Amino acid sequence: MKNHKALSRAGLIVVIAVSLFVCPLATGGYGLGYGLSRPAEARQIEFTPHVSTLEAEGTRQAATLATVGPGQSFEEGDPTRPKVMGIEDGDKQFGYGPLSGDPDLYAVWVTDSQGTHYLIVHKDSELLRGDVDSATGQRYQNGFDKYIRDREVIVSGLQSLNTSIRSHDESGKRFFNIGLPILAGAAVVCAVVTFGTCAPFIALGGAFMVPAFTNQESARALDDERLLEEGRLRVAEADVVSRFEGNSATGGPPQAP
Amino acid sequence: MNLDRSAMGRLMTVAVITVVWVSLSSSLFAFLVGGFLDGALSLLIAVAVVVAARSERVRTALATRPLNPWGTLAFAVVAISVIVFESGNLRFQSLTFMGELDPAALVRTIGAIGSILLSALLLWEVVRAYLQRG
Repeated sequence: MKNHKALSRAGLIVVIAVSLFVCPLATGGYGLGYGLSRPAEARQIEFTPHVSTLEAEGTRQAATLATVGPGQSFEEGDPTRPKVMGIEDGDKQFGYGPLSGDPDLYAVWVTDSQGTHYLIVHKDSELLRGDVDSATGQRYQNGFDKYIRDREVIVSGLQSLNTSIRSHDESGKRFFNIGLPILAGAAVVCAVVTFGTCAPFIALGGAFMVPAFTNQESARALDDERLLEEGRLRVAEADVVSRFEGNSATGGPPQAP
Repeated sequence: MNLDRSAMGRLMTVAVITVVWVSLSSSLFAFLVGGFLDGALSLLIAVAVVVAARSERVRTALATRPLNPWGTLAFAVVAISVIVFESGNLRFQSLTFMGELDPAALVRTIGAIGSILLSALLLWEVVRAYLQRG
């Protein structure tokens, strides 16, 4: 009996010692090699403009480029589609960039269920840069470029959120994976010794469960935030498509030209 | 009042399969999100659990010592922990990210479904073991 008491006391000491290590990690959301400031870092929106090159067939381009002008449109897979020098803003789904042969002309593109649609515009066109107020000569903030930038900010935020969700999920699973075998082992120990002896092992496994559940809770809270952001992204993409189709009803106030 | 040995055997088997399933699905998830250290750790845990369960020492202890029915309570704690934790990982609306299927979320969801089913089986075995106690 005395022996069991001593063993229980030793188990309790181990649980407290482990809790001292595990609980601060739980509140930080990360542990075992991760910096504690990572969640805060992940929440910040980092925006790096894409400068990747669009893929396009180049064989017939030289012949067709001479005939390309503002207002022309092309569909995805069209071999006559002019080559874009680089994506100035956006990505391969929604974006714009100057044409290789004529930097005064820009291609703007949007993607829907039918594929990606391209439109050629002048680099200073109202569609791309915003409508011009005829009285003041100032531009409205309703250009395609503005809507693309708005979308980019949301996309960037979504990617940060997703990284954060995955990190929390990974941390939660890590602690759960350590705690679960300890609990299962405790169950086997409980079957061959008294409950008093195996209880500290159950408590030890339980100690690892605390950060597991804390991290999971954080991940699910961020999941809700992500769903809201995805809703905002759909609205932003609808604005981009609307502007692409020539609508400018959602424009903001005029800005200095 | 003693725990039936065949019931204990079944409990052990289901518990080991549950722990290994949880570890392997976590390992795959970690590898998919780029956490190679976590992936390797989870894989190692799965292997260690199988090795420990098959060890002669554990088998001898379970075969020779009188079995305590309190053990079933601990197995129930294991099963309930898994069910509660994995329920939190079931998020069907998060299976896609920006309109595309997210493989990591898919693995997390399939892992959670499997873990919940295995834990339900473990709980059932706990009830059976309790009813069969000598």
